[in-house]
Amino acid sequence: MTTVVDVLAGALMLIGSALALIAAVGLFRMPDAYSRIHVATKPATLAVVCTVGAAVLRVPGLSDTTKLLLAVALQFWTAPVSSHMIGRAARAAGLQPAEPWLIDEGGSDLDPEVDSGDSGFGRPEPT
Amino acid sequence: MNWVVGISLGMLVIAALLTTVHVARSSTLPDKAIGVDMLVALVLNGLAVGAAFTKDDLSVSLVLIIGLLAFLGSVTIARYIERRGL
Repeated sequence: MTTVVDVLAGALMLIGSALALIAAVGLFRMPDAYSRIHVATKPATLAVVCTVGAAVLRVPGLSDTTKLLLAVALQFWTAPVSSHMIGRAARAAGLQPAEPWLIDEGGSDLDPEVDSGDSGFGRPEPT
Repeated sequence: MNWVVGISLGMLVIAALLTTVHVARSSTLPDKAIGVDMLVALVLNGLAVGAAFTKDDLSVSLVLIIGLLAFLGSVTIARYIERRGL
């Protein structure tokens, strides 16, 4: 039984590390920041899930398992939010993609040129 | 278990080197923010592998804390880009 758990944990570790390596290679393969957000966030989250799953299989005791599961839940919660915020900030600051936009749903309240004082991001700009 | 952990940590180190090169070479702030975010995720991976190997209590707590701090840092950089430009 211990051997089976160890083999499972080792496989999860290898899968997670390989995913992290693929994400790092993807940073070089992608042409602009928007596609890099796409390629860096999702494999990295899945890699964290895999390696933390390996740790869950190996650690003894309920308190460590709870902490690790909470870490996975927080990763699922915070990683999309932070990457979305970076992408939205890049769009608001006027970063252009490698190819021109096909659909641009940002509208005028994301456009700094037609900014009407309130930038649409909660706090107004200091003048 | 030893060589599995070795291969895992080796892949993570290569990934971290590649990401560091990307952060150093990229010219805009969002690119660097993505790279730093990725580096913190790699640190998280390494800590989880270490926790699985040594069954250490401290590494388990660090995974939780560094995950939260990574979110805080990314949100701060995003706010900075919004207010100051690229």
